[in-house]
Amino acid sequence: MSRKDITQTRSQVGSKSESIRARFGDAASRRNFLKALGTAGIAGLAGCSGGGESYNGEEQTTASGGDGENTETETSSGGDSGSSTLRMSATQRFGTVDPAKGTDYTQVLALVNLYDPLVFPDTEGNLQGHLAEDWTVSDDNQTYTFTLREGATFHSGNPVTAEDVQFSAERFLDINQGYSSLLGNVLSKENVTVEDERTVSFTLDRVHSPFLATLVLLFVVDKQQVLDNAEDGDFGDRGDYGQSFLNDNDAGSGPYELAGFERQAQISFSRYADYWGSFKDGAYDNVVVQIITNDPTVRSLMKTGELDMSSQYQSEETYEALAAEDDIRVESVPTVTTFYFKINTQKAPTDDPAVREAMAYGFDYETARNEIAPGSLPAQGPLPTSFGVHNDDIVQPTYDPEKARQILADAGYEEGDITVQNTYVKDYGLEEKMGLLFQQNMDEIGINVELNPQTWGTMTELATSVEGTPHINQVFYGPVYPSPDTVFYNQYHSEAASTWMSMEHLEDENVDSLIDEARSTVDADARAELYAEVQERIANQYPDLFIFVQSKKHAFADDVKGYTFRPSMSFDYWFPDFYQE
Amino acid sequence: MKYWQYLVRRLAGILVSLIGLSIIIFTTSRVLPGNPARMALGALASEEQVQALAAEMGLNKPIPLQYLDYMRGLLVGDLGTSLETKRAVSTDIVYYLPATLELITVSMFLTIVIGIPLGVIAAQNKDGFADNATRLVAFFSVSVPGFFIAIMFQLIFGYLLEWLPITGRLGSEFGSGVSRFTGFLLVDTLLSGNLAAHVDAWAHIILPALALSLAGIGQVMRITRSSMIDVKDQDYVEAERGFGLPSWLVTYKYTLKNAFIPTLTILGLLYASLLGNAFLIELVYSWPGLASYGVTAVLNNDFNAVVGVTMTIGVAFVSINFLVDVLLGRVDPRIRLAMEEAT
Repeated sequence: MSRKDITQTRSQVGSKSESIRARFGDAASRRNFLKALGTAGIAGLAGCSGGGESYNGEEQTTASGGDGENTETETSSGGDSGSSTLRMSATQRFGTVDPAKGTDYTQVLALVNLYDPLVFPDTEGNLQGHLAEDWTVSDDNQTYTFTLREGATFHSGNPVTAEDVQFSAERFLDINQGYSSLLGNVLSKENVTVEDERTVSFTLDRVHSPFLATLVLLFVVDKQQVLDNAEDGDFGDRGDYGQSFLNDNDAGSGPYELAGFERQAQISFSRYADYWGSFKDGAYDNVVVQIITNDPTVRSLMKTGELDMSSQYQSEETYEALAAEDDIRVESVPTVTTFYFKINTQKAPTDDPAVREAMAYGFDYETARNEIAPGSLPAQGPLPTSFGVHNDDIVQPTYDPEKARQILADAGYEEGDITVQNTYVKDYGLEEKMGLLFQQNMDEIGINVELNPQTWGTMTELATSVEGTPHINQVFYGPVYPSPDTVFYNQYHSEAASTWMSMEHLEDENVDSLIDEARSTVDADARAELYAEVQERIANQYPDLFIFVQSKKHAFADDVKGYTFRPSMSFDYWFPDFYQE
Repeated sequence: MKYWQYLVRRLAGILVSLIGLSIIIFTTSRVLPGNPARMALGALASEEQVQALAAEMGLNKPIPLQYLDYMRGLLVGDLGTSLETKRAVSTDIVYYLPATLELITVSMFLTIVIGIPLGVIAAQNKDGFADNATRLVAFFSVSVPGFFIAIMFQLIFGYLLEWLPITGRLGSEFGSGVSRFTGFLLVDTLLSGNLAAHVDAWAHIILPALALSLAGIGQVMRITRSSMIDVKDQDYVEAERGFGLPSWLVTYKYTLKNAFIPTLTILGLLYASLLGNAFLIELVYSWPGLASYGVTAVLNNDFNAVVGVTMTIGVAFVSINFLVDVLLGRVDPRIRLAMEEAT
């Protein structure tokens, strides 16, 4: 029975083959069931008992007046009026939906849909006006003045004003969590100024070319609503800055509103009817994201039509099985996330560039890509090839054990002289296989490899010191804002050292100054040259094995269209893109 | 020593073991590698941000001092803030515990209504077909891991037969029609007057509860069987038979009542251990309960949440054991006597 047949069967009330779920699960059957029970009374009862929290949201109805009411009408009419719902899965829960705190992929997924930033990345990573209609940059390149679009309103109905933008920036910087360091390094909150109701300006401490790109992570909140719901806290007359409110509720102007939030299980969104922007024809009225951590469940739900889109973290076997189903397709999309073997460049023996170079030529990239991570793309240097400023002249080492042995011999090493530790995330099949392949490859050129699986928590802790960081560390890293700066600064700049992103401990003055110069260079062409140089400078020192650029996969029900990749974390899950065919 | 004195001593013992547990769990969660402040702040947090949050959480203090702070908080019901959900851990626990309790209560119910009658049948037909058949079932249910059974159930009843839902507690379409009163969905759906949602809640709970109860069913079945066989051959049972009492009355009233004591002990232990076993089942079924909250907490170095969940399960474990002791004392005066003598 195909997925479509099942869905059809479901809607046929009274069919003998239907399941308990089918009998009561869909709207039509439910109506019949209720009718049979003479349920005018029951429905009424259900309606008036809505005083507490409801099961599609935690403190929805209790906390916010306007929001809650809105939500309830939205959702209760949802099932019956033939409205469309996109049901997708995610593999980790949504810890918070506070725009000052969200950092991981699920949190940002929620934020991009609930809130609007001033600018938004397109498919190429170019920034488009979003809440900002347009902007100007002062002659000294330090003041950015944004004109807000007219007609944008928050879900509360309040208009979006310059004051809200200012308040959002202040809140972001004061709370000082999440991605606030991206702005905090170059911007003081006193320098965010309201010019008039629709004009707001940001004056930076110094010229900082990635500034606009980092603004995609400054989500604008409804000042009025936040202050109305603030509790006592550390921030003077702003109390807790609405932290406990925004932890469970939204105060955004985004295309979707928070309709329900059950952290462990699911989060749901409903379309904001007065959104200023446009939706695709057939865009979904509701989106439900379920937290599902195991593959068999995803398989079952996709097959029975209860899930329309899988997360990007299913196993290869699951994607294969899903692709074989009728009415389900699996799409593979190239990303800008690179899989690195980060080499500690300050600890013997990998502090010797010859050892690193030998490793780079001794590793079998093709087997890694084709057998262990099928569908992934070749890497060439530190920056993924799809970036506009990628340096195509970089020499990407290829598998050449003979050459690797020669490099080691020339540097005076004999077989068995070198032993290195390779650390990866425990129980992660892909990384374990990579480790084994590396061990085997290195054995061929006379390097001993000790495999050292660790928890992610341990790996982040090891990274904080040069001595603690193992010789080889397997890490995925992808941009969180659409700029090459995110790739270079966090991984290779000395200032950003001692995190899991910079396990190379590169600390190279030339690299630092090239990154700094790029940051303070406004002219795009000049910046591209600097980036080309920094890529070369990094690649020549072999601080990493650049293994592959990730392709991410999702399984979609055939009628789900519109998924659009954007090179910034979770901006590809922008629901207005999706539509039902 | 009087019975109540015995109970007071037991209570004191429980308190000591809970304090011991809290020290072990607290220390373990603090010395585990991985800086919780860094984990909480995410990828791009600067060193200053990490330091600021660590100071705010008191992580800079020596562990004994941190422990004292924690215990001070505990006395007023403050378990600290979860780094991941950014809410009070006590709020989270109160929110998620009912889902787990509901799951294990239904499991427990299934264990009793399936396990005990099967045990009785097996005892009645000792070495017969029914006995061997139930032995096979018990062997299977005890030896196959619960999570495997859970996944098989999903594949069979969800994927192939499509009888039952395999994830969550309630279809998303019912969410807005059910208000949260107690957190027990089977109760709240009724209080909300939403019968369709009530049926849906049952449909959701059957598979995980059954998967969770199988191991217990096996144990209860075997224990009931063997104690029934023991009791069945006692003189007084023979005598009752001799008086001509109907066999069902002898079996279910006189034999089972006395054979029930070992079963009750096992049931008590089972209920507590179900809390622990629920971890994998909740993950498999995306069941939004305390166990899956705890697992995520461990994965994220969310140490306040880890301590909170572990302590909750610890408290439940010792309380249930205590309760079973009290119950046993009431059911069987001989046991009460033994307790008094032992102290």
